Parts: sequence; C-alpha cells; structure tokens
Amino acid sequence: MPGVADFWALIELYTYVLWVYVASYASEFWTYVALSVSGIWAYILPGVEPFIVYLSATIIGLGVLQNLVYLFQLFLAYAELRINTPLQMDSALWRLLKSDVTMPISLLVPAYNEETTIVDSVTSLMALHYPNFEIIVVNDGSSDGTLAKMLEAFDLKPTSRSFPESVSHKPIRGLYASPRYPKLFVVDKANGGKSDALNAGINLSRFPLFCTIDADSILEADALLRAVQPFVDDPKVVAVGGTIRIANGCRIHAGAVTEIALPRQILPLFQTVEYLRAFLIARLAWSRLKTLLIISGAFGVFKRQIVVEVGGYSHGTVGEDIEIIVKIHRHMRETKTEYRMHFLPEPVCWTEAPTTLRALGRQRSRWQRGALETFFKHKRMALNPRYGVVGLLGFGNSLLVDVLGPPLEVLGLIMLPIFWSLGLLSATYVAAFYSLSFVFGVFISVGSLFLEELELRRYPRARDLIILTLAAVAENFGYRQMNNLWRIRGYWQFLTGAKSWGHMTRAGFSKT
Amino acid sequence: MADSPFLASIVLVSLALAGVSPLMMMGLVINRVVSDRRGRRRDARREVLIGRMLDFTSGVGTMDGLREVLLPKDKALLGEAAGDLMRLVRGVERERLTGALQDLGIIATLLAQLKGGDRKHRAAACANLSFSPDPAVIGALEKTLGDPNYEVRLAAARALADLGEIKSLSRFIEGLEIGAGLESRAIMSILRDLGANAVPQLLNELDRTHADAFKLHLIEALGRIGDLRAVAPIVPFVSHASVEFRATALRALGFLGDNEALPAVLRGLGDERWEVRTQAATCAGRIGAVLCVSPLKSLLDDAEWWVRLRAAEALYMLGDRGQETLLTLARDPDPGPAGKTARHVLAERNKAA
Amino acid sequence: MSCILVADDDPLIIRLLEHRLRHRGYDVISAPDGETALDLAIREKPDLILLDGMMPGLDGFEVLRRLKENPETIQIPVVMLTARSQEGDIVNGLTSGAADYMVKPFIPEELIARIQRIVGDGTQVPGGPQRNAG
Repeated sequence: MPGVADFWALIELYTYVLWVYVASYASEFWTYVALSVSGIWAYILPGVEPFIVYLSATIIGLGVLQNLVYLFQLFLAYAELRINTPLQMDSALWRLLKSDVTMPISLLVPAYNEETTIVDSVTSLMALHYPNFEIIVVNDGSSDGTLAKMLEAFDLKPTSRSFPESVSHKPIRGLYASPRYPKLFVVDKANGGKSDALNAGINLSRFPLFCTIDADSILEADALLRAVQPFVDDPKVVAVGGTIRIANGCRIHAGAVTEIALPRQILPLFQTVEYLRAFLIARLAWSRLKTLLIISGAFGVFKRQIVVEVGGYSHGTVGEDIEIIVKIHRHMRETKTEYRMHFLPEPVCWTEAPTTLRALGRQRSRWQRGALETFFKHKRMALNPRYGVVGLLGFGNSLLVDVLGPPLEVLGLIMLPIFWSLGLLSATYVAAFYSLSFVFGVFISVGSLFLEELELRRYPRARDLIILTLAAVAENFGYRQMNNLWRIRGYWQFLTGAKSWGHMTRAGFSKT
Repeated sequence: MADSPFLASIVLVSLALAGVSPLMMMGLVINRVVSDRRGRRRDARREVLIGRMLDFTSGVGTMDGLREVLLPKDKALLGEAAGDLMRLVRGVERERLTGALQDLGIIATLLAQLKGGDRKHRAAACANLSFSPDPAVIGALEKTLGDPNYEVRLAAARALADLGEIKSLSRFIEGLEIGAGLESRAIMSILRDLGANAVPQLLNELDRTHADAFKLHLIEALGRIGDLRAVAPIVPFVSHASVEFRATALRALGFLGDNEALPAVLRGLGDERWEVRTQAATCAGRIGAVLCVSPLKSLLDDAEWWVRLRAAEALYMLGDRGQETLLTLARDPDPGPAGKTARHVLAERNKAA
Repeated sequence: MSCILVADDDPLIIRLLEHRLRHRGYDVISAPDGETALDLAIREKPDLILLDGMMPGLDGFEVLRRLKENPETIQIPVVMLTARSQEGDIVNGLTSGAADYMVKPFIPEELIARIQRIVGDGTQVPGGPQRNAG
C-alpha cells in the first residue's frame, strides 16, 4: 500500500527532473509549478506501486497532455478561421482593393536535379497573378541537366548583377537572364544544400519580400496576392506561411491544379488527412497564439531584411524551414522588437506526396531530425519566460510532441502490455494508454476534417467527405503508429548521425 | 492494484468522442449534399440572370426581360453578378446597369446586406455598391466606415473614393481611424486615388494631429499624386526625429521630382541611417540635379550595400556627368566597393567599363 | 464568318464576349487557359485571338510569344486584354507582336470596333477562302 512516503518519493522524482531543467533559468516560479503538477498527478492515481507504475503513469499523463493540446488546437483553429484570417474575398474584389499597393516579391526556387520538371515549374510560376515579382531559380550544383534545360527553354544569356554578401553561401558560378523573360533570373552555384541555395537567392534578390518555393510544387495563381495581404495591412509582419495540400489525384494541367480530387492511393490519402490535422489545424492554432514555430519551406513569404539580420538560413540543418522561424522569433524577442507572423489557410501550395513507405519514412525521419536539431540548438528558449509565449507554449509543445512524444508513445505501446502480462500493472492502464494512442485520435482527425468542411470546403464532392472521414478514422490504427516508428528512426539519426548532415541535405532535395 | 477512476474515464471519453465524431461528420455530409443542390440551382439561376443582363446592357433586351426572370430571392444573386460585370465593363453599359439595379430593387437588397450580413457579405456589398452614386448608398457607406471589421471599413472607404463622394476628408478619416487597420497600405492607395483635387484637403490634414501611421500614408499619397503644391509641406519631414518619416518623406519627394526639394535631399544624403540615405539617393536620381553628383559619389563608399547600389543607380540617371563618374570608378584596375558597384551597375545596363 | 478565339480564365468575360461577338455575326470559340488557347489556335486557325494577360499555367504574354514563334499561327492577329496592374507588360506585349491591347475594365463597343478594324465585319471574310469554323 502506498503511503505518504511514496507520495513524497514521487514528488521528489518529478521535481528533480524538472529542477535540472528549470534551474538554469533560476526562476522560482517554475519550480512551484513543477511541484504542484507532480503533486496533483500523484494524488489522482491512488494505489501506485513505485517505479513501474510511476513510469506508466508518466507515459499516460503525457499522452493525456498531448491529446489535450490537440483538443485545444481544434478550438483555437476554429476561432482563428472565424475571426482572424483575412477575408476570403473573391480575388477580383481583392485585387481591386489592395493589389496596387502590394510589395514586390522575389520568388526563390532552389533546384537540385530537377531537369524533368524545372521548365514547366518556372513557366507556371511566371503566370502567377501578381503585379510585381521576379523568379530567382538557384541551381544548386545539379549533376543533371537542370541548368542546360533552363538555358535552352528560356533563351538565357550570362548577365551581371551587383549583390551584397549579406548571408553566406557557396561560390556563384554564373548568373543568367533573358530579355524575353524579364521576370526570370537564374543563379548557378556550387552545391551546398537547400539552405545554401536559399541564401544565395536572398543575396541576389532586390525586393523587400521573398517567397520560398519548392521547385516541384504548384502555387495557386492568386497565392502570392493572398499571402502578401498581412504584409500590406501591417508593417510589423515579418513572415507569412500558406497551406500545403496534397496534389496526388488532382488533375494538373499546364502547371496548374484544374480539378481538386482525392488521392486514389491509401498512403497519400492518409497524408491528406494528416496534412489537415497536423499542418492546417495545428498551424492555425499556433498562429492564433502568436507562437507559430514553422512555416513550410514549400511556401513561405518573408521580409528579406529580417532574414538577413538573423544571418539567413543556417548551414548543415535538415529542418532549415523550422530553424529560420525559430531564429526570427529569437532575434525579435532578444531585440525586443514588435513583430507578427501569420499562417493563412487560403493561399494554397499543392505538393506531390510520397507514395511509397520507403520514401515517406525517409521524409518523416528527416522532419523529426529537423525538429530535434532546432529544439536543441535553441534550447535556451525552451520554457524560458524571456521568450514569452514562444518559449513557454511553442517550445513547451515542441518538447511534448517532438522531444518526449515519440519515445514515450513507443515505450507505452510496448512496455505497458508487458508490465500487465507480468502482473505488475492493472489492465486499466493498458486500456487507458491504448485508447489515448488509437481512439482519442479519431476525434482529433475527424474534428480537423470537420473544421475544414465548415470553413474552407476545398474538396468538391460530398463523396470526398465520406472517403476522408473513413481515412480520418483509419489513419489512427496503424498509420500514425508507423509514423512514430519513423520518428524514432529520426531520433536515432539525430543522436548518432551528426556527420551525415551534408549527405542528408542532398537527399532531402531529391524528389520522392 | 486499485483501479483509478481517472484511467477508466480516459477510456470512456476516448470511446465516446470517437463514436460521436463520425456522426458529426455524417451531419456535414448531409449538409453538403443539400448545399451542393442549392449551389447547382444557384449557378443555373445565375446563368439565366447573366444572360438577360447581357441582353439588357447591350441593348438587345429590355429591363423587363430581366425583371421577368428575377425571383425575389434572386436579388442578392443579381447584385453580385451585376457587380462582377460592372468591374469588367465601363461606359454606357455600366451606367445602364447601375440604373436598372435601382429600379429592380437590387440596391435595397445590397444595403440590407451591408447592414446585416457577415463580414464577407458586408465587404462584398461595399464593392458592389461602389457604382451607385445614390444618396442612400453614400449615407450607408459612410456609416460603414465605422464597421467593427477593418477590412469592411476599408472596402467602404474604397467604394466612397471610387464614387468620388468624399466630402469631408476629416470625417472620412475619423471613420477609418478606429481600431486596427490604420497601418494598411490600402489606406495610402485610397488617399492617393482621391487625386489632385484633394491635395489642399490632404495638406490640411498633414498639419493636424493624426496617428503616425496615418501621416506616413498621407505623405506617401501626396508624393504619388504628384502635385507640386505638396513639395514645400513635405520638406520639413526630412528632418523629422523618426526614421520612417525621414525615409517616407524622401520617397515622396522622389515621386514629385522637384528641384525645390534639393536642400532637403542633400541633407538626407548625409543622414545617419542607411534606410534614409538609400531613399535620398533614389530621390536625387529622380530630381536629376547635377549638384548631387559629388555627394552621391562619396556614398559609393558607404558601408551599406543598398546605399552604394542606389547611389550608383542615381548617378547613372544623372546623365553624362553621373555616368562619366561611374565609368571612371569602374575603370580602376583594383576596384574598391565603389568601383565594384559602379562596374555592376554599368554592366546591368549593358555599358562596359 | 470570321472566327474569334477568346482565351480567359474568367467565365464571365467569356460569356460577355461571346454574347457581344456572336451578335455581330462572329463565330466564337473559347479557352479557359493558355495551354488550351494554344491548342485551339493551331487546330482551329481562328481569324483573331483575344488573349487575357493573366491566366494560370501559361500567361497571356507567354501564349502570345509562342503564337508568334509558330509559323502556323504567326499570321493570326492577337488583341491583348489586360488588367491595369499589368500596364508594364503592355509594351512587352506590343513588341512581342500583339496587334492591339485593351485594359480592363473596358468598353465593349470599343473592343468590337477595334476587332472590326482588324478582321472586318463579322459577316465578311477577311482575305482567304471561305472555311468551315467550329
């Protein structure tokens, strides 16, 4: 029977762990918070046996917390969709209202071995509806004919452009332009990875805003017009992210999505639901809390000057799109400058999702590694009140979801049944954890779909909704757990494979 | 091992929520089926209305032809379609349609939308009313300048500006100044579109107390309108304590391109902040004063690349004397920052050193 | 009958122009995007093409460029219909071989007058033998 002694032992265990973390900020307040959280937790679980049960209880407790965060995200996302997002006006109306005051944008398109698609991609980018933009394609030392294809198709000639060394990158081998395509500018440089290519693009861009785009994704024609809206309305805005949706199954004609449809394969279909849940809803929620920690590299618009101030994209990272956002938060908080970042549901970038387990697994391991890299590189921000909501909520969430989440979930799924079979734990623990891991997620997935249908209605047919609902239920049984295994692999790579960064950066670039 | 009611409740809550969610979704699916049907009917109605509307505006059909197919519940639909068409065409056809909207009672429907719709409908109503110079419409739009949503306020302001119905600028500005949105550059574009006739009024507002964001819009708008009466009143802002004011004033003076601003521009070229120096350099290029050649030349050694670039571009715009300066610098066999910038700027314009 | 190809991603413009042009006796075919416009231009050989500057995928200026590169379509006169914010592109359009351009919002009568100036009345056949359109 547990007594008062056990109770105190539990508190000691928890507070010690938290103390180590919190002590570095020398904030007494957080110690009290840690104390009370572990106290309450020990209280609501009567009859615990030390260690094994503490461990199981911790795993379940964090699972509960994680799911509560997801639940909270749904509410926040709803509020953001209803109240805060810019009006989804007809683009004709919008153009009338604001398009003549839009700032010029440089589109930065890093390209590594994209010879099959680059010409089509660039052609369709040139057709974007935007008054004043340039396209800077950065050929990152491709080993195929990426550059040659462009030189031929667009009649490019060597040119010259003065540029500052604001951020660092590998040497530039050549600059190309064509009088026939005044919007297009091509940079040829030595291979250095995606961050490096983006930095070269930043140096060469001359406009106040730049937009990062993956060479193989498709921007909707009015995406830039919509994405620039927060910049037009508020000079304090430093970055805006748009929604990424899955193009598999859609009809694509001449570099534009002409008919939205669901993927016909199961893996991309799951990813469609997952993108709604994890990218659309979660990012809307964090955007509402002014705590957005990621803007996808496939479509984000930035104030050039701010990115230059933080030194551009960091080299040797796999998650350069997360890292740059965290760097901006950090910089703005440290210099005590007022700033805003937004995530918008409506400018949409369509991207082809991986269709094989292998490719998907690689992608997910990489994402996990990127998240961990960023977290530990900027760990001084974590739970640090000096960084406001970003440090507390943003990093707190990242700690829960990226750092603690994957190992704990796998641990729970494997260990709890073992403990139970050894008679160390009652079946309720196992049932509780398995319902958290499998069943609770159904509500979160379907809830995300619910919001999508209520506010955005991107999928054209009622039949699509039924299929998506089925997928939203099904993805919780197997797909999400599989994802977790890939994340664990990413974890492993993060802990062991620091030296393989350069190589992986390249792999990240190649198409799936 | 006692069972915790807490753990049991996790299981129950998860199961309950998972059970409820597909049911909620089914509700939405049914809702979608119904609204799809309604949408198809709406599209079909819209097609019919557009057909008659095109007949009417071209003079092939009559207003009665349009009235004949117009059901009372389709008035909002016609208001929207008419707005779309009026944004495409101008001249007689637009006028003809504006008159018909009044007679068919569409204006009244749009006014009701302006009052009672959600933010999207209110903003759309503003845009669709911006072709009807009716006193009732203008009154309603003026009232909408106080709308709680700033995008709706902007849409109302834009509509009033398009109608040319801004009688009292002060009142107009008061309406816009509540809450968020004052910093939006859309306000600048509205002020600019008020045009040369509004310049005395705008200058008057420049003397009064306003939020900084608004004054910056005013200065830029005055610059873009391009009326030289604005030069003298803008010049003092080049010595303002805030960087934004100094930079914006020089930008505006650049649009105006008047010699009278020269002393202020020369002061700006020596400003302590690079953001101001770049604007001053561009402005000097636009005014085209040979007097600026030597201060611009010294800016080619500026620590900030943007200042160097804009100074070189300005020199290029200053004609022979400026270009000669660039060529000389570019010919330096071992160029410093100045020579390099000169070289690049010349090369970009296909002039070899 | 003269045949006119209208390329625009806004269905209302297509309806408007079809309505006006058919009343003047022109035959009208339409394309919702640049790619389709190019295909139709080659296949149907219209007497005139009305091109919107802004279309997703291939924009109007690129379509114009390709039409003027193709010996099969180089002779077809092209009138550009552009938004105000693209005024900078107009020079680009004219140097690429556009016969004329108009800025939206436009006066439909004026557009028709300009078309008539280029291809003549809808009922006449400009040069060449009678052909079956459509």
